[in-house]
Amino acid sequence: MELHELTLKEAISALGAKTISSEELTKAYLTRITKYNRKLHAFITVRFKEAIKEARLADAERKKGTKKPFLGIPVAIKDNFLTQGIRTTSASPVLDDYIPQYDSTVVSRLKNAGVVILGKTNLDAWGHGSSGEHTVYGIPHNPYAYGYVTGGSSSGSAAAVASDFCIAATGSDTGGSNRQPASYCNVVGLKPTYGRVSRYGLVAFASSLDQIGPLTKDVRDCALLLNTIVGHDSRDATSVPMEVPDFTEALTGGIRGLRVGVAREYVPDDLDPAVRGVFDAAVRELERMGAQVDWDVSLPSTPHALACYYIIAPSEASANLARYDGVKYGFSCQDGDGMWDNMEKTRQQGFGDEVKRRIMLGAYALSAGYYDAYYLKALQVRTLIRREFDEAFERFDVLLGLVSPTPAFKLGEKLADPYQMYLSDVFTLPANIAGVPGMSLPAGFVDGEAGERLPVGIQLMARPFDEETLLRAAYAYEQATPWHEQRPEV
Amino acid sequence: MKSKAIITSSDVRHVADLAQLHLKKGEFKKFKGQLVKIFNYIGLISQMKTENVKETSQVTGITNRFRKDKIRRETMLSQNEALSNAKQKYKGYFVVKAIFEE
Repeated sequence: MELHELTLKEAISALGAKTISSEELTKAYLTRITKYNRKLHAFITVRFKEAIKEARLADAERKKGTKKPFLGIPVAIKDNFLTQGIRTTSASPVLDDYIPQYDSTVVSRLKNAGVVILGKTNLDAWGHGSSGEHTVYGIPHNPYAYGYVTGGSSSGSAAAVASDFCIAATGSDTGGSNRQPASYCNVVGLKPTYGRVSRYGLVAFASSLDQIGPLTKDVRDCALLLNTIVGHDSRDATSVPMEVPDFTEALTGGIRGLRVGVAREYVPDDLDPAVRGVFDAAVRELERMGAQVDWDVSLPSTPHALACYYIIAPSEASANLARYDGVKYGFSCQDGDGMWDNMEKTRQQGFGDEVKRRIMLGAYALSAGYYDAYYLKALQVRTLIRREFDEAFERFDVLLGLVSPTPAFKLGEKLADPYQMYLSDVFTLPANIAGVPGMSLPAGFVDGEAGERLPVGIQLMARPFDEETLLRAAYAYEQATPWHEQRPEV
Repeated sequence: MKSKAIITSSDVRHVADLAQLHLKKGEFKKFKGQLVKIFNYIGLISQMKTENVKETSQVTGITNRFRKDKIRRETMLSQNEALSNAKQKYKGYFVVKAIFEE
């Protein structure tokens, strides 16, 4: 096995046994990044020199007997996590030269655990997007099918993990941004329960929906990373003070008697038959392992969740981005006539089309005369959607569906039609609306137009703060199937 | 609420003003078409019955998080750090063009 193919678990063992060094491991990834990143655009910033330096320090620490869970483990960080002293662009030209003065909580927890930061990964600017195409740092290509999208917004993190450019990566998920690219790139992507992971130092997209989670090569790695990043943080008032379990203890392999509900709306009738085939095979696999599967559960508000999301998320985004004035950091246009004119021109020139669309959608939904009909109504619908999940979880331990209605699509295919683009998140954003955890798992492949192998992911959802059941089911499925072991030919 | 959203050019102009976005001529037409299509879909929520349904603005149910009224060094920036990303500064201040008319 090659170094870059190691999982997090395997690398921890190998480093601990001193059969490999962090420097060797880090260099193995940097070599691959040097070779292939110009083609795949997974990274925005690569820390060639600094990462090797950090790896050598980690090796020296290990010699001294220092014990840290991820000492010398090379990871990638989505470029909307603030990293002290490391440029953080959020893939927007506005933040092209922004150097944060402090670390986001998740990054500081990872650093305390000993990681080496290889670099910052590409995304749809500000997290707004489902294809990875809304970036000024090179459009990411799907590692399995050049010319196809990676999904988004955690486009670079998913592509980097799939292409063995790093052991694991962080992502943020507001409406599916970890799960959808994970499914398009054949990796494991988790959106934990809202409140599980501190959002302090994450560039805010929609504050009541944003949640941070790992993108990894398998379920065990996901549990390991989760162990490190979860927990209460006084700097994020929405992070929930509660006991944190050891998530790896949930990986028992047994799911006999687990009550699984297949959400009908997440597997619609007009699905591509090949995608349906992949899904049905996955459900049968769970049945074979002893899960009690109900093949026909309904979450009837699913289409309304999309409408609800595209009111709430842009409203919150427009409020968050209203603060961008170009004064304290980032791009600033100085040609205007006075401060207000400068600010408007800064925003006009700095923000891309998708950001402008969302800011305007939000401003419209929040404006006088429309507030009640759109924003307040959406908040009420949010209550109904949550109730629907609550009721379903009275009868089932996990809900199962697809991650996205289609596999990866071609670059450019949906760019001119934002509505079609938004539809690719129709199965992932209800979990954000309801605040429940959701997870994408590799489940097989279907053929692209020219015979490309396009990954398909299945999605598991569980009760709020029951990531353990989610991981237990996911691990059992993964152990019985070969899909997570597949690698693309990059 | 009407089932079909009617968004006029002047609505787009109004919203762009609210959002402090300076739109170019061609952008009005493009965004208008896209926003109409999106709002026609979003209008779906008007079909949901929501009488006496409380709003959910956050999902954790946590309210009134207090902390001691003490300085938290770990979330403080020095003046120099705070200014480190500013394009224009003067003697420890951010510089902007005049806000008030003379």
